[in-house]
Order: sequence, then structure tokens, then C-alpha cells
Amino acid sequence: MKIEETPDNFQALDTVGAVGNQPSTPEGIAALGGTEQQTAGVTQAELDRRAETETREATTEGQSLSPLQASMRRLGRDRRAMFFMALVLILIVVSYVGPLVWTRVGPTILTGAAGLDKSGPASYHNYVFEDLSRQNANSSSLHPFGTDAIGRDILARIMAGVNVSIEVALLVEIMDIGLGVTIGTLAGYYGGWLATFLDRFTDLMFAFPGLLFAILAAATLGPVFQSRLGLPGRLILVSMALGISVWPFMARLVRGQTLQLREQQFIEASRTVGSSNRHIIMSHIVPNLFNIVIVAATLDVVNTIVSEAVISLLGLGVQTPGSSLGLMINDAAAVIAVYPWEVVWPTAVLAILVLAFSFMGDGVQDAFNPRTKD
Amino acid sequence: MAERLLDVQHLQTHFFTRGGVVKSVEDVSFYIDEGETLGLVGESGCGKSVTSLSLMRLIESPPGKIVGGKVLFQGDDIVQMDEEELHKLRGGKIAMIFQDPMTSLNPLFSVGFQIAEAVKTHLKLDDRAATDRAVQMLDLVRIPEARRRIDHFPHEFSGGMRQRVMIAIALSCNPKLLIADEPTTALDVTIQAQVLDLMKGLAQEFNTATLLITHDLGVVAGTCERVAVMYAGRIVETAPTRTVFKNPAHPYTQALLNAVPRADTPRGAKLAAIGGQPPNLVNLPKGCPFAPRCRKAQARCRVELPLLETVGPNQQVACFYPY
Repeated sequence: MKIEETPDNFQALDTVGAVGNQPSTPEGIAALGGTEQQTAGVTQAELDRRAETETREATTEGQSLSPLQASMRRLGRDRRAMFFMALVLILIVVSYVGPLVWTRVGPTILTGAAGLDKSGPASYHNYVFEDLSRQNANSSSLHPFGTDAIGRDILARIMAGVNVSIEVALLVEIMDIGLGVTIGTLAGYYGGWLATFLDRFTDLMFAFPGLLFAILAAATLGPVFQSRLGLPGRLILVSMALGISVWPFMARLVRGQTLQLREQQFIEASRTVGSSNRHIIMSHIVPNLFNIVIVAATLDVVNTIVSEAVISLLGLGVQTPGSSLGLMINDAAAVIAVYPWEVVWPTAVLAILVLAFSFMGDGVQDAFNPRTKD
Repeated sequence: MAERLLDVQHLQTHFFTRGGVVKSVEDVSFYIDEGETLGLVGESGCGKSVTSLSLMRLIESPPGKIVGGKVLFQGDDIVQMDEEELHKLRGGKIAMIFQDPMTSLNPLFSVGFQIAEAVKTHLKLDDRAATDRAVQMLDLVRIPEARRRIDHFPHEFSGGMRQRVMIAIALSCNPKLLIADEPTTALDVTIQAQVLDLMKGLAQEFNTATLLITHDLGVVAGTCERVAVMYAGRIVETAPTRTVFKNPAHPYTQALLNAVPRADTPRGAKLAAIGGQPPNLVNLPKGCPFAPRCRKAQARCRVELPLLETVGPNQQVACFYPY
């Protein structure tokens, strides 16, 4: 319907006079005040051009970056984070590739309590091999970090110990992210009994320290797991216990973010084009959780590594002849007054590992959640 | 006379909360013909948005529920539809755009991807065709260099441009009805004009009917053919735009019009306001819901509820003492 004659009332109300298809009379424009004339003077193309320049300035190098790419780029520019990330990678690579090389380097020597057995590096550079003729040996070209109380190569044992730390951290984070994201998202999106359960369970875990829970689990179930699954059984048990104690915190974090996300209009908009709940969760909620999850998980690795070391230090984690940094510290503590180096090596490596993860985590946090940076 | 596209009859949507039953939409009836633009006007909290969400059956349940009435869309009752039919309806036949363009796009995906997603679901196009369609739609909403811009992310667009992208998504599947829930409230005036102009132009081109929800009477004047005025979950007046502005029948409509600041209002003059507050939707007063704030209210208004009655050509009003 077309409105030909414009009543006074109507014209004055038409604050967006340039829009409608009513003829704007000069009197009408005058009644509306001066600003309207400016609006009419600006063409669509001009407005577009302005918006275009604005957005161009906001983007770097005229190239379009997704938020993930932008975060990665920020991380790449953070020298400190990159340094510690490199350190973490070196530690991981050395601890896994190192033993392959180390067991091939060295002459054939005489070992054993009587010093009569011939052994190659495949034996004496293996982290379980006990050379009873070289107990508590000092640093030498054969054993750069020396040997422990029963003649095992400390360097080999450290590499094996770092492996354990990394594996436990990996298992725990898989559990943490898997359970935390699944339950947190569902609880946040649907609410209901799942949300109540999550709240109560997290409260329980808040009241009951996670490390204590893991120690308890390791102490009571350790022998069962070891007899069923062998030496890795303990490792799996410790990982599961730590995983169970950390996921509620991740879930709570994820739920908070989900609650915030589900009120965003793009979720509602997605519903109006006929998306199912499943589709909304998988393609709108979960991808938007990536940042907070990756940051929380990276920072949590630090706690996990320390916790595993503590459990092994208490003798409840990995058992001899297996190796773990905590276990090595515990073994060496008995002779600390005489052979302090035996404690220093694993402690130093543990410290470097933890600090490297911690600084890397800080860098990841700054890159992925730039707003939290002071 | 164009075909009747949407016919809402005595729609009732209530929310069952701990504090009682919130009767957000108590009795809403209106119709939209094909290609027509209807403005739904009312102050905050009177049920405009709930009405629009009810039309798409997007009321969250619990606590919300459509407890009565019919929503006939091309003759089929949306209230009775099952999930599969609704899936086809949403986005395919009825599309919606929202108030805040800053949060209506997923920040993680390029705009091209987000347009293509809707197209792929409803028009069953392959990736390539969907991308072409996305470019074409961006072109239509006058985003320059559409081919390049489809790979850009929402944060690289200004508010007005994002709203135009939303319009592109909404219209990409050729819907019969576009519901625009305060599409320009979050934009500044110059951009408002642009967006409304574009929306109107494209709606005509696509022969899409528009339900424009707004509290800005200026927007209504510029874009709508008919207006429905809502108050406390009810339609209190419906008439062609011109009639509403020239000859408003309901005291509420009159009060709304008086409250709009005009450029020719003398400097220093006080703005007219409607005294009091909208009624609590849990405990609606007996009689006309507007009676406590109405200057013309009589004894009858406080005990009896007025229903919509025809008072003029195409004009209906729910008031015992109109004009």
C-alpha cells in the first residue's frame, strides 16, 4: 500500500525519513531537523567504503584470520611462550628418542657383582639394568649422571621417568577434557539432573582434595591393578584417579561458558533455521569452548605432573623396577647425605619440566584469552 | 487481494514459573498477507518477542507453552506440527532476524560458511552451489567485493554489515515470511535507514511477507503497511499504518503516539509519558489491562474485558470508548 498524502503527524514521526517510499517534502525535512539532510547526503556506497576501511584497519596485513589463526599467531609472537614450548618439545623428544640412541652408545664392559659379566650398552644403558659393580658411581663418560644405589644408569632412568610424567599427563588430560567437556556441555545446555549431579560432585571434590583421593585410590587399588595389568597398571590407576579428581572442575568451567553461549543470538538464530540440538552443540557450542578448554588443560598439566611425582614419591605410584621422577627422588633420598647428586638430577628435571609447562601455559592463556592478560 | 499467508487466532503462550503463570501472550490475533509488511508495536515486556517465537514454535519448554489458539501458515496449523514439519518450516519458509547483530553470527566461522550452511540444509545444494548462493546473497545485501568477503569472519564486519549478513542468511532460502525482531534497535540511525531500506527492497523482490517487531514508531511509519499494537499480551488495535497515525482509536495507541518526541516540539517542552507501569503478567487486573493507566477509563473498563471490534475500514480496536 502506498501512502500518497502524508498527514502532519505521520511525517514528523518518520525519524527515518530517508528510508520509506514516501516522498519527503522539504517542509517535512525541515521539521525533522538538520541531521536528516546529512543522512540523505551519504550514499550507500560511501557508507560501505567507510565500513570497509574500518575493518581493513582492524585486520592485520589485509589477510583474513579466523579467531583460532589469530590466537596461534599471537602465540607465535610470544617469545617466552615459544621458548618454553620448544623446551617442552625437546624434553618430550629426548625422553622418547633418547633411550633408542642411548642403548646403542658405549663400549662393551664388564659388569655384575663380581665384575665378570660382559655387557653392551643395550644392557647397562637400560633403565632397569642393575650393575652391582658400579653402585652410586660418580659422573663418567659411561654414566654421565652417575648410577643409583643399585647401579642403574640415572640418565636412562630420568628419560624413562619423563616418559611416565608425559604419559600420565596425557591420560589425565584426555579424561579431563573428554568427561569435562561432555558433561559440562550437556549440563550447561540441558540443565536438569545432570547439572545438579555435577554441582554436588564438584562440591564433593572441592571438599576432598584430589591428590588425597588419588593417593587413597593408589594405596587401596594399586596391588589389584598391578597384579592384573602388570607394571603399567599402577600408571593407569594413578592417571584414572587424578582424572576423576580434576574433571569436575573442567566440567564446571565448561558449563559456565556453555550457559553464556547458549544465550547468544547465533544459537537462537541457528534454531530459527531448523538446527537440531545436536547440531547446535556440536557446531556452535563445542568449537566456541576450544579456547577456555585448551588453556585450562595446558595449565592443569603442571598439577598433574607434580601430583604423579608426589604419589610415586610416597611409593604408591610406579613401582621398582619401573621409573618415575618421584620414585627416583624417593630412592635417592635415602642416600642424600652421601650422594646428593642422585637427588639433584631428577629434581632438576622435574622442576624444568613443570616450569616449562607452566610458562607455556601462561603463554597459551595470553594468546587464547587475550582479555585476561593484564 | 493477496493470499492470506499467516493467520494467528487467539494465540496464548504462558510461562509456568515458580512465581506463578506468566501470561506473556494472552490473546493475540492478526494476519499477514503474502508480500505484506505488518508492524507489531508495543512497549518492552508486552509479549512481542514471545509472539514471534511462538510463531516458529521456539518457545523453550518448560517453562513456556502455547496453551491455546491457532497459527495457520498457508492453511496448516503450526501449533500442531511435528518436529519434521517444523524443521522444514524454520529457515525454509519462515526466517528470522534478531536485534543484536554483534552476537547473531558465530564468531568462529566465516560469514560465507554460515550463509552456505542454511542454504545446504534447506535447498539441498552442494558445497559449490551453496558458496555461489552465499556470494549472490552478499551481493544482494550490497556487501562490496562479496566474492572476497565470504571468507571473512564476523569480527571483520561492522554492525550494520553484520545485520545485512543476517538478512542475507534469512532470505537465502526464499522464505515466505521474514520475522524481524527489532532489527534496527542496536544500530545507529543512519545505518537503521540503510538496513530497513534494504530489508524492504529485498522483501519486495523476493515477495516475502515481513513481520516487523519494533517499539520505534518511526520505523513502522517508514516501512509497514499495517500495524498491530500490543499491550500486556493482547492486540489492542490493528489498522493500516496511515489510519493508526492519523486516527488512532485505542487510548494506548494515542498515548504511544503522543510520547514520541517530534522535531517540531518546542525547545524545553516536557515529553509526554504514559503514567504508571504495565501490569504484572502473573496477576493481570480484571477488565481492560490498560485501564489503570488510561485517562479515559470508566467503571466498566475495570470489570469487563473489551474484545477486538471493527470500528473503521480495516481498523479493529479492543476498547469500549475508542477515539
